[in-house]
Amino acid sequence: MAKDSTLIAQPEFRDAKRDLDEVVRQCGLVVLGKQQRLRLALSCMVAGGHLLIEDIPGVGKTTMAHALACAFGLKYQRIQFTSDLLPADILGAAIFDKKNSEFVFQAGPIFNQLILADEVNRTTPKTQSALLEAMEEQQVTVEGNTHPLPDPFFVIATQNPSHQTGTFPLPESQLDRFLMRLSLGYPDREAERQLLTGEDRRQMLDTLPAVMPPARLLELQRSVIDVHIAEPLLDYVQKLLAFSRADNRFVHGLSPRAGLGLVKAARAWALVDGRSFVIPEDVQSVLTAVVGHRLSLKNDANATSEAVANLLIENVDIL
Amino acid sequence: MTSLVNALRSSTVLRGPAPAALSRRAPLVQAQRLSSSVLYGCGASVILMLAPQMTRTPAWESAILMLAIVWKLFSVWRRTTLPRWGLSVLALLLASGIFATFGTFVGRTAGSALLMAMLVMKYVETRSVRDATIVVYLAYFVIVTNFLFNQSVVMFAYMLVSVWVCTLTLMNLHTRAPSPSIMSRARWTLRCVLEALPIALVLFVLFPRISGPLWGIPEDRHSATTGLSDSMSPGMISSLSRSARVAFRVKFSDNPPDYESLYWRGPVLWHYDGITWIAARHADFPRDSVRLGVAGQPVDYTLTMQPHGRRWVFALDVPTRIPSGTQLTQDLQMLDSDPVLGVKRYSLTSYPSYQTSGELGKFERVAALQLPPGQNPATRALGTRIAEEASSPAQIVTDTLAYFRERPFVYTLSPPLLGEDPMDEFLFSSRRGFCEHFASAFVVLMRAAGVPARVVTGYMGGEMNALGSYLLVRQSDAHAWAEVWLSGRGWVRVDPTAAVAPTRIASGIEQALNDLDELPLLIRPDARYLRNAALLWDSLNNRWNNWVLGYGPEIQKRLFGGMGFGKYTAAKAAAALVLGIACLLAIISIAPLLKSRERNRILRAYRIYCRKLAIAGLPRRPHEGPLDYAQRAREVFPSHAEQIDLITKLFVGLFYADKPQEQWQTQLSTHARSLRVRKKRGARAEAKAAS
Repeated sequence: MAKDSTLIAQPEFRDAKRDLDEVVRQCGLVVLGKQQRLRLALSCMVAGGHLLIEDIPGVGKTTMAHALACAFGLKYQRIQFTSDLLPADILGAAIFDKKNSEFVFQAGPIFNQLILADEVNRTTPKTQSALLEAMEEQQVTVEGNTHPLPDPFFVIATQNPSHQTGTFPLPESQLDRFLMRLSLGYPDREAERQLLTGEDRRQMLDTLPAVMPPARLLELQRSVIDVHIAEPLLDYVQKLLAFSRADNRFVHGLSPRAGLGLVKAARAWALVDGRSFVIPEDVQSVLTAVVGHRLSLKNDANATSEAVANLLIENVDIL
Repeated sequence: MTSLVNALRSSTVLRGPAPAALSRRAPLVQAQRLSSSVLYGCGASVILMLAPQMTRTPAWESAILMLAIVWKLFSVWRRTTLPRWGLSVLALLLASGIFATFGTFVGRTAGSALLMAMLVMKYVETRSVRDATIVVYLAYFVIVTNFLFNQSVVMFAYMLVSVWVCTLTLMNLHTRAPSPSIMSRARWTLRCVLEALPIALVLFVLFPRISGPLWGIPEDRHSATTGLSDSMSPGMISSLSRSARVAFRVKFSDNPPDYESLYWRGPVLWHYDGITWIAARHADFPRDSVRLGVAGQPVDYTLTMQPHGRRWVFALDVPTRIPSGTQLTQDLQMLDSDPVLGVKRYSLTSYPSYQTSGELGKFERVAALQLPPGQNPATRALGTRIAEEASSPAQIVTDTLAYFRERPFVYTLSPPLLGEDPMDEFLFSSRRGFCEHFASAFVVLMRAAGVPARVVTGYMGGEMNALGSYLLVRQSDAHAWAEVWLSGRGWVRVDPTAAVAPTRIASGIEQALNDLDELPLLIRPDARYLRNAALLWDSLNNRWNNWVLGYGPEIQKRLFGGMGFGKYTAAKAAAALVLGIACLLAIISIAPLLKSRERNRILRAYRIYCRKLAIAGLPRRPHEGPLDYAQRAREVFPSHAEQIDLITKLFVGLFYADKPQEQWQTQLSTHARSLRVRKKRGARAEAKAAS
């Protein structure tokens, strides 16, 4: 449902909204009919979180990640995860330099601003954890030397639904590292028709200009903390957390980290909307993406994120 | 152990990432290191702390400290670390330099010079959060030392800003990226400082005051003696008159007395050595040989002395009621028991018209007729001649004043220098002088004529500041006059300056002088705007002096009684202190509660609106946000769309936005109450369909 946010637009963040709308518009040229998902992905980046996209192959996961990288002018690297990928292949390794007789650190593909970790659940847990460690700490330690990763640094990981063959599903603790999980879903009829008749989206990607410099993105990330979150709204978030913990339909309740993530994502969503304060609708808008991968139902293991989030939303009064 | 850790860590290259526990060590150490922006901010605040101190430290130290800070900033910029030996050498150099300059590390100036050197050296070696924290704490201490030197309003404001910047630096130290923007951090710290102010105020008002400075700092004894001294030689008062510094301020309870009677009595000078007049010791004369008789209206006033490092207080001639701790000498000087080192207030009563009676004591008569033998022969001869021609001592006085009036004497701030026999030279050749010349010549003439006489120094007049309705007496109002003993009338004030320049006595020095360029700019009549601004500034200073600096134990006791606590005791003061702070903390902690009450009022208004829509067939779902609900309501009740929008806007603005406005609250209530929605058939079904 489109929110009537013009009602309460704030002058301070009008610039932010204008810039971010431009990003959404441009990415929308490539990723057709996924405006809402793009906005969520954008909020995730503005909140400084990592994004997990889970869907069947061929629905545009890679294209979306690539389009976002292009729009922000970020240094982009795609890493295809396979079952024989080793940590050093991602992080880099110390290589012996014959001329100077010393070990020189050769940076791996992770030293980029936006990493697309494709099919992250096809590799072994060891390699998965190497990536996730780097994500968490924004630095890589090899042979006792610490190398900071660039800023901004994002990981957009994609994974196939875990019931497909040849996968090592990410455990809950590692899913928790991603601020949001999205699934793209099939395009609607109109978008699919456009896709089928229009030019090749991969080629279009090469011609996309950067609409926002990385410095501006960092600036927006910093202003997320200035988005006001009122006491009644914090009450609402806490009621949501408490419900997830008290209700026996959930396997586990939401962790404090999930609560933090929810608040941060809601702030970023408000910012993307051009507002300087958070309203309950913001929390509800990001709730599916933020809690979908952190909650599961006892009696229905295959429940969708939407179903889980709706259970939460519908049982908590906003006032 | 370390080698084992290293072995494990190096193996991570080959076998994937290190176990979490080991790799976490690195970020912990990292967290202690400071980012360069924090170091720059720290440097900026250190410079801010040092700025007011720089004028007091020796120039070489200021230069070295500045260079050291620049060196540090440069090394932060180049990301290099400073050599340890360099720091040690610099520290030793500074310490020995300070010792060489002052000969000690103790005392006000030497102590603060050392403290500053320590602050800068600590900053220069700062690398970790811990170092920087110490720098900030030291900086707080350095801020306080400012008050040892300067207690003006400007300094107070500067110190508040310094405290704010210091706190901001402290906050920067402890926030990690991504953190709130520097502006919002500045706002938060400003709020912290402002919230602390009322507590500081309670402590200021109720904490037991100690009279005099808390620390007996040796340097204070001999420094800062300004204004009149206990001796007078030609040129001394005229050089004082070039200063616009404030000597003291007077607040009268009723109307101020006439300008001509504003004689502020200071040291009385008896002994003349031919050039210089010197005060008598108080033990010189037996007490109570002269009695005081008063007439006319008493004048009650409060006098606020600026510190001048001497014991005397310039009371209006002649004080009859003086506060305890002060005394009135035999020659009617008011003395405090201690030198006036800080701003001090006195409540006094004086009688501008008075008479002394009784007999002049033997010792006093001798002292009042003393003249150095062999000096100023022409003057003495003139005195003797006047005495021979006159019939009575009173006649001698009038004849002498007539002498001054009839000869071409000039009242000027820049009299020529006088030689061996200054009075002869002044009376018969130069004839240009300031009040001290006239007073001095007059008393010498009187003594030569056999009339006991003495010189009185002090201030004459002052400037009324209409802004604070108080009298401002500057150093430029310094004056000297004479007193003669006439039997039957006692000591009588005679002002020979009045004979030469009557306007000096009637309306002040700036009217009496022709060469205005000699006067300080601030009191010249032609600089009116400057003068008004100066008066405004001075009235601010006066309030500061009265309410802050002059707040001593006496006033505290009175205030304590005035607040209804009765007599001041230490236990009561402590109880009041604790109570006051507890009240403030309670207010600060109650504020959120008041806010939640306000929140309830907003909610109540919003619920009225929801109930009205529910009655009309469109209840709000509990999980529905205000905007979602408004959208649904607009579709069902398009005719009320405007009102629904307005109410939603006000509610969201009040309840969730960061800057709610007061008037929204009443607007929301009125609109919610005035909303009239007609029940619509099938609204419920429609709403269901819409969702």
